[in-house]
Amino acid sequence: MKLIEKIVYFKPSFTLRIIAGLIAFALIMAACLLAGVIDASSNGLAKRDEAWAARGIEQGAKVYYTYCAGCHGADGRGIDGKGPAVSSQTFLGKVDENGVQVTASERMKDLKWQGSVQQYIEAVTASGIPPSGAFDEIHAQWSNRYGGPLRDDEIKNVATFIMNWAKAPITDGTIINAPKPGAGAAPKATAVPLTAAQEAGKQVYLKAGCTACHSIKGLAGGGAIGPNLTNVATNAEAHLKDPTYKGAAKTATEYIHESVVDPAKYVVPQCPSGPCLAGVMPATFGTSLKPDEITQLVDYLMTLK
Amino acid sequence: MALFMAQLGGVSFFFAFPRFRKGEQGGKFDKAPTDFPAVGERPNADGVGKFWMIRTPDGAYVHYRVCTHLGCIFAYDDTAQRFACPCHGSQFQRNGDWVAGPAPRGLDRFPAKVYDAAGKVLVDAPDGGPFQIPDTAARIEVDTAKKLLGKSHLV
Amino acid sequence: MAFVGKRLVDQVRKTGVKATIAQRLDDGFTRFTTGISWNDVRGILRGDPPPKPNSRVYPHTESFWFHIRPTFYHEATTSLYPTFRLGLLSALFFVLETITGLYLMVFYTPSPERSYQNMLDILTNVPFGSFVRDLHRLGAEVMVVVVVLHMLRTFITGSYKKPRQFVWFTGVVLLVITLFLSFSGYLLPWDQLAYWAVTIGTSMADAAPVVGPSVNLLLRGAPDIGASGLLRFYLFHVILFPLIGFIFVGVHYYKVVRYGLSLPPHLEKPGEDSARKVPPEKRVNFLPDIATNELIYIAIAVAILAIAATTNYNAPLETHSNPLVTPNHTVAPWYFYWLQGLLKIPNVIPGIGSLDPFFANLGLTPKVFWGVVMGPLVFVLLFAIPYIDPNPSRRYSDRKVMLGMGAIFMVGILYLSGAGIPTGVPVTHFGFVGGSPASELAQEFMPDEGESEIVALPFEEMVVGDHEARPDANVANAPHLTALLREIGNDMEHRKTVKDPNGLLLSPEATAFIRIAQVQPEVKRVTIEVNYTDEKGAAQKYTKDKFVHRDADHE
Repeated sequence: MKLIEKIVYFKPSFTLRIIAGLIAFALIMAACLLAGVIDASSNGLAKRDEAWAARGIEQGAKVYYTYCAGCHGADGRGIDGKGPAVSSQTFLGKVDENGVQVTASERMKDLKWQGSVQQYIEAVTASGIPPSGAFDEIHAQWSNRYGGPLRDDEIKNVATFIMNWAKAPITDGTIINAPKPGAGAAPKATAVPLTAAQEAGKQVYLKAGCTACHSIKGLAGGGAIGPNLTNVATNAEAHLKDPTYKGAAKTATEYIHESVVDPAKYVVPQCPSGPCLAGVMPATFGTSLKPDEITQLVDYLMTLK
Repeated sequence: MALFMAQLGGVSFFFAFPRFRKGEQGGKFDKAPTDFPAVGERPNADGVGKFWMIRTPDGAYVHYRVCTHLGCIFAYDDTAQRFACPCHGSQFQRNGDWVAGPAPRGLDRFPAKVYDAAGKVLVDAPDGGPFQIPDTAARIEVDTAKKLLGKSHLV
Repeated sequence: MAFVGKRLVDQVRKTGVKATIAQRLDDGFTRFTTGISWNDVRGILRGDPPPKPNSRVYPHTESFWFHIRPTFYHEATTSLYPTFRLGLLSALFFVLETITGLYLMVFYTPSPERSYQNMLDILTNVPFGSFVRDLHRLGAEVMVVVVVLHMLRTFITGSYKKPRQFVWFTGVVLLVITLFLSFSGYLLPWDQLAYWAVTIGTSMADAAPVVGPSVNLLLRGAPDIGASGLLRFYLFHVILFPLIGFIFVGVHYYKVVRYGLSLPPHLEKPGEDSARKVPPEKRVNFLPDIATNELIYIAIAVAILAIAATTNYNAPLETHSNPLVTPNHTVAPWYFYWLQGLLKIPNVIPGIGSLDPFFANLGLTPKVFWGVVMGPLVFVLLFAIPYIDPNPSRRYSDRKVMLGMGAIFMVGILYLSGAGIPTGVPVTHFGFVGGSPASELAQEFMPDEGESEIVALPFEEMVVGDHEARPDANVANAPHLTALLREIGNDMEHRKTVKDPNGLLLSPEATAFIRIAQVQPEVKRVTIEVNYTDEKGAAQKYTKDKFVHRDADHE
């Protein structure tokens, strides 16, 4: 109590007040000066600028993997029939660490686009692209100004994220390039007509709701949750040779059959929007589909080489 | 107390004084060598930064598009091969020299720096030009924060 | 020499040039100090006793700035006790907030399209921007605390009693203004935190019977918060509430000076108000003693605030507001936690039984009762205290009932505030709001908004691949990641054995993974995945992911 009383009844002398006051003012000035010095240094304003720009890219990544990766691919290479590459050197050109364009974008030249690549991405994301015939679907308009779900800042963020690939754009491997303007759709190879059984299998595919998660080039309205099935017959052979494959199938037909009735046996590593997750594909098709429906389905899928 | 007020003033000044990011008018702009037209050709304009890019036999210039008379944006006259302001008729040559009209001085310019692909400075034109653009140039940085007043033709 | 006045010339002739200059300078100086001549100032600085006539009181009549300050104080009120200068501190913070707010107004536009980018610009492209913003935010939060402490002090020393009832009344008005100022400013950054906290708050207005929807439309300018709401809240924050605040501060302080600062209770006879009758030997002049006291107090307070803003404190800014996505564990601002806690009072109270018949009789739903009726009732009670308190004595020993009730009230508010937080009050877990143990685990280590341990890992330690979270996890060359995996593993063990406040346990064979994938050279994707079995025995998986950029500087 004595100590507390001493504190609350304390009356500082005049000199003490002056000194304390001067120290306090000096501290305030020091704090302001420190704030200014820190801001001016590389640890201040510049670092925060970088940090928040980086957070913008993080938000852009979130938008990309929610809305864009389904057609443009998890690494931006594009998906055949669905969307062109957005991380290729043809599309982005090349950019140095300062953000300056050192190699021009071929695609922008073809399109005679006057602005920067980032502006092109923002414009296209916002207002879409009319059907070109090269892809199964149009590029929808994403801006909330035109009925889409994205705000302006989200569009800017996703464009910045895509431009971030321009520091090391892909130049090898499978890149789906958009056709040059005026080239229209690639000539469709005359498709071998499906037999009745295969046609029935196609109907099973559509009826069973496979399009909710899987896409096949030429079939409109596929989903991007599960692997793309455009070349599933060829892919099946590759998966059989994979050392992590622990299933019981020996041929591609058996593999596809197993994937339909017992999907948990083997989960393909890569899906359009990221790594494939186990337990997503329903394991009930073995019972919900009749045996002859399954056979027709597998027949149809085997035509997709 | 006086020191404190002085520092408060300093803080307020730095706080309130506007800063411009790259690409905003008042900041720096990156242009490519191809943005500068060939000698004798019509100049190119940058709308956001408000400047003309032009090449003369002496070298390249970056002219501020605001007329030095009363602030209108002047155009380029193809037939006369000169800059001509529509408001009060001031005329300027391709290199910015005043020719005719009520403007008190030639065109204002912006300083430019020419960089090669590795980021090295090839040419530095702090007084606004004329400057050469070598073949190895990768980009030209125009600084619209520093306006350089044109040559006065009055006494 | 014709323009030199005749009086000046006469003076020079009579007294000489040097004396004339000295007299003129002294005259100018005295005008500047509104009455204290140069010699008197020197006397003050030397510590002399006041001269006769006492020039130190002249500024109180001559100067506008000093006219409302009392000329002298009773010396018993000049030490830290009994006021702790909290009233001065409250006024200081009001002024500080106004000044820092004015600075911020230079760069802010109250439009949903621009406001968030303005905040980013203030933080990244304005020198001292982050400093001023931190000062403003920290000042606002401290101001609420200071104002409440001031009210508490006034209550404890009984300074609201006759004749000061109206002073207390205006004080509670100022408390409400402070809370509204803080609340309206909360929305302006337009990030997820702001948007949803204010949506919750204004939805309570919507719930009020009869007038609710109209009040809601008036406040928001639209059914949901959007451009109109932001503009209106901006105007409230910048014009309406400050204006009312300044007016009431004037009224409040005038009444304080009119009745005088109340003396410590033990110095007054009960029922007597002797604050204005100060015998001369107990008087302490405002100038210089109280003025210097106040100045150091202000300087120390501002210094502490400035140092805190420069060093540790960083005002938060979450992601851009998204009207379609509410983050998990959204809360009201902390000074409204008690309101949120009020809304969580269960319908069945142990010992009393169900409250449903009570609510049915009133014709109100429980939420409306607790939030719209009881919430404001707290303030009505506060307003009423001086008018319902019959005890004339201010002495602590005579006021045990009142002080006891005050203590219970504070404890109640604190308890309800704890209940307002999603994790609930510690120990009793009253107010716990949570989903399944798996989702709570994921939320704890990777919350929807705000910094998180997983995202704060050093970028190089985010080793690409799948890492299982177990108490014995070990990842080579990644000490922080290893420590985190072990922490999550231990947390899982805890959740498997100790029931959460909802009575749920994490299923015993549950596993958790942190999966890291490389997306771009400087961007990684981090996913937390919890595999568990739900109550029906079905295998479930809960995943959450975030993207992390190397330069993003997460804490």
